[in-house]
Amino acid sequence: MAKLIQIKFNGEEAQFSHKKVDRSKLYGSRKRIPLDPLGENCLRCELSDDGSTLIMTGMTSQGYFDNDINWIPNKELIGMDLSGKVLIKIPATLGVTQEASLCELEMLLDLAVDSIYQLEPEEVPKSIQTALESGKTLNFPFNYREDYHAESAYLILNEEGYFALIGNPVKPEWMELEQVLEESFENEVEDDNDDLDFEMF
Amino acid sequence: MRKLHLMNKENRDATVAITSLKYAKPFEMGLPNKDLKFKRYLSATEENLHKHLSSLHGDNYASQLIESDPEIDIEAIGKFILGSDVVYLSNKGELLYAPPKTVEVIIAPDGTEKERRDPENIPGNVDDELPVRWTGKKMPKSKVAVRFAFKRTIQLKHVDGLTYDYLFDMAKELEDEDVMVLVGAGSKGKEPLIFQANGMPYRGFLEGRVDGKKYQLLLHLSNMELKRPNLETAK
Repeated sequence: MAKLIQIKFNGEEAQFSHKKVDRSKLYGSRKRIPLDPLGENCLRCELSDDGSTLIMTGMTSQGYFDNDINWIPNKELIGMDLSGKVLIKIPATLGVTQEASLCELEMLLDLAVDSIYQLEPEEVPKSIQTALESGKTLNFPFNYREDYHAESAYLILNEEGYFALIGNPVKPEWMELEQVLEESFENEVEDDNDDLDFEMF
Repeated sequence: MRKLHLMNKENRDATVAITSLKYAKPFEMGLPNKDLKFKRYLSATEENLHKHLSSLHGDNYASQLIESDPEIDIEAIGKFILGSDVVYLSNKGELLYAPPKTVEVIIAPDGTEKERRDPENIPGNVDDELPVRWTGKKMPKSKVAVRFAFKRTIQLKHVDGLTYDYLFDMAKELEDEDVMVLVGAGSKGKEPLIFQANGMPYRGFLEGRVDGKKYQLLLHLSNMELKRPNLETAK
């Protein structure tokens, strides 16, 4: 069994087992498949730019190289902030009690959600349950495995049960009358995946 | 600048600017004082792949892997791949010289194939002739926030003085009532929002925040409710 999500709020601890939920498990998904003239599935491959190599699945790898074309194994890489300062690794939070705090609704709405966990309560004190039932949310750090950045987790309770929303905060800009928007030619099109049409209403 | 054609509750429409709110990753992997480049390279040829090797060596496959390293072609591996084009091979491995026919496969929540159909090209609908409409379906912010998972947030921005008033008034109304309003595309505002051709359809909820004369009008996009999968169908 995976380690539990453990939080502490007002001196009391709650523990949850967790399972990731995604859209395809709720609504299904769709994908587009290319067929050959006989109606059989095609193989999608790549042809290198110089036309010399037909690249099939499993034929490539990727990695970091220095200026002398020496391959740098992933285990040697370290995290650095944008100024180049070396960062210290942040331990995984699963199985370790994290301090949780009540948060404003705006903080939850400003979360770019990366993953969603459906939680099964193993132990939830009354104080935490009451806070969540009153529509409040609890915020705590979340790091699935040790790395250089912990995400934000928000614990919520609705009619379906407990959920943890994991992600990173985005910052909307305050707009004023004098602000003039500049024409940008940056391509903002995002790579939407190809799931089944929205059916949740 | 990406645009959104919007209609307010008084059926006044305007075209405003939109930007996608993104999280900036605060770190990167590397080595101090070393300039590293991320590259893709060839690590095997077709003859080195499992499918070929297992049929070639049969029962001796495992011992051949240990003794003669048939999975490595020392002449070919390590070649950097700077760019490539997608090509399709037929099921028998022959190169196709014309685009293949595409079929859309619908997968049920339990992972089984439900249907095959001809794919339909669906255009984007947020900067369309028909505006995205304010449906009037308002819900308390506290309810919406725990009922839907918001995958993306789009910020609406004015492009001139008139659209400043237009968006500011919307943001103020929503903040004063502490609600979010559902917006939708199509002639009746019932269709989900699609931001690019064949893109993911989203339900959009407008949220407003006001600070003096400043405003934030945010379009939260959701394609998923916060609910438990039906165990029978998702098994």
